[in-house]
Amino acid sequence: MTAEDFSRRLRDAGIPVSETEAKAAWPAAQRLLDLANQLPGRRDD
Amino acid sequence: MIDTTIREQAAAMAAGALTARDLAEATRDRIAARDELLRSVVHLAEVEALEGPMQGVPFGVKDILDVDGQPTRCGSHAHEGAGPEATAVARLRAAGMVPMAKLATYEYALTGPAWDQPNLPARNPWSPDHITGGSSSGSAAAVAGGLFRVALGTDTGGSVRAPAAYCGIVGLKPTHGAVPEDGCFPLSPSLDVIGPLAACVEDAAVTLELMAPETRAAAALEQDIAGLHIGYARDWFADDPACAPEVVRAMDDTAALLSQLGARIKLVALPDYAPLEAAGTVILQAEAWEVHRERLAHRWERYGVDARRNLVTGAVLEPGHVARARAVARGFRDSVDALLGHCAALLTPTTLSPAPRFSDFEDGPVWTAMRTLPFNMSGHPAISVPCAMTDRGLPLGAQLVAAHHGEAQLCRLAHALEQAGPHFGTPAFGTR
Repeated sequence: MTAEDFSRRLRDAGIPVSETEAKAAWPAAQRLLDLANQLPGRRDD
Repeated sequence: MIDTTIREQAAAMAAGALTARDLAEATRDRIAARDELLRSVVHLAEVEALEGPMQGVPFGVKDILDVDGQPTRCGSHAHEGAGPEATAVARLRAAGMVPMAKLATYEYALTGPAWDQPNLPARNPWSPDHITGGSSSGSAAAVAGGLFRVALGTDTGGSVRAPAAYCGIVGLKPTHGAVPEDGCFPLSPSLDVIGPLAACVEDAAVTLELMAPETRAAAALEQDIAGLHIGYARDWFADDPACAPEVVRAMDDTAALLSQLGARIKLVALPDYAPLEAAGTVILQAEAWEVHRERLAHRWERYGVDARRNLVTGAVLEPGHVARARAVARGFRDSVDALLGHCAALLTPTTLSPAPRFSDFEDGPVWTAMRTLPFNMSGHPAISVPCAMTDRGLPLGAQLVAAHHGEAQLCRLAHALEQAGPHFGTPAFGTR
């Protein structure tokens, strides 16, 4: 997922977030995604 | 009487030595004298005491729980209105306790401190330059500052225990599900628990037992702890670079004290911490996103900046991530259950440092190292008890963890530790 994908996902969910704020939120979202991808178990998502 | 235990307050009222009106006035006077500095109270109410065993004993309520006749703001400009009174509050009220004030919370019990909430952040009574921790920030400040003996908080990843540790008071997280969660705005329902922050273990135990009688939390407070086995999870924190050396010393001293009381201390190994925190964070953020997404869509601009940016991170998660996180949680629960099969409790620090300074948060949210979130995933009851004071005069907390529904055992151990342990007096800030 990229910052642009994240921004699009938020807008698809109806969140009225500006591009600027989506970019500001992306580093924390990326850290969360990294954490999630490091969890043990089968990667079937 | 305002500084005596809630049982003593109730006994004095039953004996006619004190009236509910006296206690309410004394509490109001103290709030007037101290809360301009503490910033813990967000709504002060006129409430009549009902008849009951604890008639007239005042308490505070984190402003994320609904209380009849009082607003609920959840620390947010995005929230208004209130639903029916939380069962937890109603049970205390039925015993005669008086919900006198709503207390500050991090926005929606999530992230803080922040300066774009309806109220400024509560301050740590031990030092105005330091945070209280959260999210039950006002509950911790109000109890540590002597406004109430007891205040209700909520704990999703440590939000009762961590502010209790940072503020030098007791924080009790019951077994998940022991206290009804209705009337509490959720953050992450599979992790959320309502629990008391209190001036002493007895006050916490008595309050929990009123909210959840089946816990019998206050039933064994006076029993000694000789012969009980305590699993000391030293490897779980001592080698973490984020752990302050004074925390390691404080925990070793706490283990030694428990040993002097006759408990048998055994070093135990818990699963690696990092994957546990990752799993807990994934569960929390996924559930918080589901709870808030509709509201975010309609009230985006009314949320605080840090809160809304935090909440939307959950949008990156897929069902498979959450499934794997829940598998980690189940594995951890099994590991803890196995240890508690031959230990009365586990011992860890609550946080790996004393309270940070407000100035540490000037550039945005800061991650603070704790050992609390895994026990929200596993559902075990846990309590934070003051155990040491740093050279800079900031409190540290020891965490005890017991088997599911083992609140009586947990409070028994915590009470013994509290009675035998060092006492630090009352904070100077806000209490002069």
